[in-house]
Amino acid sequence: MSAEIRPGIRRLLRFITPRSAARDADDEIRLHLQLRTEQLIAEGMSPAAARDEAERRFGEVEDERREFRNAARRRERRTRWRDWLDDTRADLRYSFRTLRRDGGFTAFAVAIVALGIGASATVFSLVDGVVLRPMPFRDPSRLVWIPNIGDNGTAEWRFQVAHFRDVAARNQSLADMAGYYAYYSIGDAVLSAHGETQRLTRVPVTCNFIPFLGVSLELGRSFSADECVEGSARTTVLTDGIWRDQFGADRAIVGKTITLNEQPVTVIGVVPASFDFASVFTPGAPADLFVPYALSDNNSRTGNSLATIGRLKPGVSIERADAELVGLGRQLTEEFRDRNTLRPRVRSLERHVNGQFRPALLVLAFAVGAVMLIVALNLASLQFARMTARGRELAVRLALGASRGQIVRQTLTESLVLVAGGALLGIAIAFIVTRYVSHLRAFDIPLLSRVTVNIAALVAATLVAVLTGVVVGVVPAWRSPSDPNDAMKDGTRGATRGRTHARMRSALVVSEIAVAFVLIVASSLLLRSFVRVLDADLGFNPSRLARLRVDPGTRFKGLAEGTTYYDDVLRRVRAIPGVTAASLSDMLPFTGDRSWAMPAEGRTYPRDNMPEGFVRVIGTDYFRAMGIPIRAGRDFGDTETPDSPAVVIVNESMAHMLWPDRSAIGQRIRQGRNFVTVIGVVGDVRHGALESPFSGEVYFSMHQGFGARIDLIVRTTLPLAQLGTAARTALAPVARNATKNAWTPMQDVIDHVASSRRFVVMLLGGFASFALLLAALGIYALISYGVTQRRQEIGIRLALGASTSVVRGSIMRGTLGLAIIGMALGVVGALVIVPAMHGLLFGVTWSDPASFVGASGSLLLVAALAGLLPAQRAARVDPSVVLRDG
Amino acid sequence: MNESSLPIVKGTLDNLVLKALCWTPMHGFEITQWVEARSSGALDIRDSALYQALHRLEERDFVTADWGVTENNQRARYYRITKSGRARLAAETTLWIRYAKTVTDILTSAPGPA
Repeated sequence: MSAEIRPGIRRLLRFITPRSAARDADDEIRLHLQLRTEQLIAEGMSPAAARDEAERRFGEVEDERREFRNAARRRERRTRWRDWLDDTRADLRYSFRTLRRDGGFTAFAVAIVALGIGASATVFSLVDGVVLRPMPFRDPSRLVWIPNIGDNGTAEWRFQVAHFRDVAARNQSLADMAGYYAYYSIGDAVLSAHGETQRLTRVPVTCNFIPFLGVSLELGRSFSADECVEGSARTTVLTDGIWRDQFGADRAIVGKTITLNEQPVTVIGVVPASFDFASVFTPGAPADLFVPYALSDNNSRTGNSLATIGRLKPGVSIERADAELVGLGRQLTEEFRDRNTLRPRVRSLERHVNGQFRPALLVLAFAVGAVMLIVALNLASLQFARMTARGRELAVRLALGASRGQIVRQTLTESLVLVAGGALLGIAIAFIVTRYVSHLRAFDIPLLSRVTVNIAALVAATLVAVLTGVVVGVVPAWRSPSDPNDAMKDGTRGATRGRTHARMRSALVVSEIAVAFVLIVASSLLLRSFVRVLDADLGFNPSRLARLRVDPGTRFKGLAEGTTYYDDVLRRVRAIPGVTAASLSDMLPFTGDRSWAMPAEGRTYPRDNMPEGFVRVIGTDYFRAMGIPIRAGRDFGDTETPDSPAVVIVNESMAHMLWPDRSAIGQRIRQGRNFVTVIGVVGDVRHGALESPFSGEVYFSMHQGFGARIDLIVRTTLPLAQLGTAARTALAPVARNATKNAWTPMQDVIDHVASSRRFVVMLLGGFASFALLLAALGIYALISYGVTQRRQEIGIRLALGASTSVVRGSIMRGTLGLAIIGMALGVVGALVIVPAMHGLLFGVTWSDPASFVGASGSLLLVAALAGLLPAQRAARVDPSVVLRDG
Repeated sequence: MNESSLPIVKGTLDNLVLKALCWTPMHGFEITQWVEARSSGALDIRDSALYQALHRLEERDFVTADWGVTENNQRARYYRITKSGRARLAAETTLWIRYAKTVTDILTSAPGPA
């Protein structure tokens, strides 16, 4: 298309002959008819005949005219589109050039937009995945969690099987009930295949559990009724993860027999990946396969064991179901005096699963919204500053005949290019970070694994950025001076219009400071809570404490065989140089919440106020290894055997609970029909959450009975890797399986317990730092720009005898003035917003003065630093140079 | 127009117009005259059909047009062939020659079995 007229000339031509498309069409037809008529007359026709003949040859003139006009209009549209493209291309070229020239500004603007969009999209995706999106079950809004409220009125206990059966049979509100055995132990099943063994975690579930949730199986079927009876053939349903990892996603797995704990078990089905039991019910813990849990009398005798969920009948509210079940619980407790007390409540399952995280995530959502706001404010403030600086350039272009529309187009293109760059980067950040976070296993946040980038959130964040881009692209250009004369003058001297701009930018920076202040207060409150939580007295000393899961590969035929095995393991580990103490436990702190009734001998308790104690089965020297002080009596020793009298050690809380008026040593606790004698009292240990108070604990000796899962704990001066090597050599002859597992620091367990809190603190802290940085940059840009604008004025002042410290002081005063106004607004904002966070706080009140003072201090400091550089620059202004150049 | 004038084969008009413009930019009536002169009036072309061909070609970027003035100082729309127009014409011409030759060969050959 080389023959085409260049766009500039075309535009010029159109300017000269501003005709409509329709008129053009008419002209073309008229000329044709006229020339044809002239030709025919020249050939000898009469004018009238010639005219008729010309029209005949042309065709139906009116129809053709319409055709012509349409063609002309289409042509016009094409031309306009092409012109637009050309203009845009030119604007883009110009924008890239300007932005390249202003490299620092460009990089900064792109970076803040990218971080803003990336952070908001990620956090909103989290909130959506964990809190907002319905759970991955059929009709999740009708699913309810049914705890059995403990004696203290708050603890959530489980259901006894017999009660479960009766409630399921008698209630009117629920369409169905299901449950899982809440005390399944991690790694309780040894899978043997090809001579290798692997520890897996079985979750015993009620027969209807999988169909109850509306999960359709990937392969095979769920349990049938006759498979859920005690003593029936062993069957299992695999989770997707185990099916892939252990069985290579074998589609023919259904019907095959696998070996678990040296018993044949038939695989009858595989649940799909979308059914992630662990991530909903036991976040952070594994669940590998499902086995049926019989609702038998036998299982009922094990006590409150079933975690229970229900499905409301259509039209039944949670409140109504709750009222009914509360009544039913009372009735059943009365009717069956040999059973445990039943105090069922009905709560939304959704709330049960994410309730703990809802406020935290909402705080984060708010924080990220605030960050996005600061990003927008900052971008606006920077663009304003640049536009003012470019006032002269724009004025010159106006003077040279550029229309205001063209100028606006140009600045708009420029700011959209910036935002587009930031958005692209931000989208990439959102995808990468969301993927990373959802794959984190360190946090026990439910449903985290299903979090994916929420496109709506991404679009919304991008829209906010684009909108900001449009506003900051259009407004400054629109406000640029109408009279170029003014602008030229204004550019050289700080005149009144410059001042309105400055005021607008001051307002933007003040808002930034205010928002940043609120964020800093919020994050410092959470941080201080977090520190308080971590500072909580654990009751044991986790440093230099390592744990190893001992998998004895085989099952023991009797207690004696097991005792011999474990004593051997302990002996060998203790012999390792660098190991100062070693012991065993079947349930380390924070790894389970098994509790039994612990009535003191000779006392009767009301049925619903039975003392409870958390049960730990331990090896010898446990207290020294853990760093738990022995307050009275003695530790277990080799004197404890299966045949010696049963003894226990209690913690101080337990001792106080049972025998407030006397020493616990020598007292007895009833266990079923037997009694156990207290031989020692030890310090309290935190076992559930870091925030929860101490409660009763009772330690049993492994020599007198133990469970399937045992942890070896070692206090050592060795690094973990070295300990691992040494332990492998030491244990190889007796416990080959144990050597396959990795040593983990006890601190990991504590970190895991605090993980969700740390997660929130980390994110909020990140946002607050980002906000502080942005506020600092905003202040710096504003003050620095102001100094540049006032160079002349400053020069004159200096020439007239003002000292440099006076100049510096006046600029610093201005800076801190802005910061103080911003902080005052921030305090007001914080007083409105922060009280809503009080549920997340631990050990601090929302009005914690330290947080407010700290936030003010850090903001003032940052503001001072941001103002210092420009103030120094102002003080260094050389009057003679400025006055000569001006 | 004489009785023996030939109906135009569909699609050929576009090629004739491109051919006309190969020489120099022309306005619509000039193109009509050029085609009439070259065909000695043997082709029956409606004037409007020629303009439709021009619009078609313009939309496909085979020709472009701009306003200019005739020798008699009248405002006229001048059409000009583009680079892609020339390429198109060359391709169409080759095709036409092969087509015409094949058909002519068949029609003029002696009757008989293939």
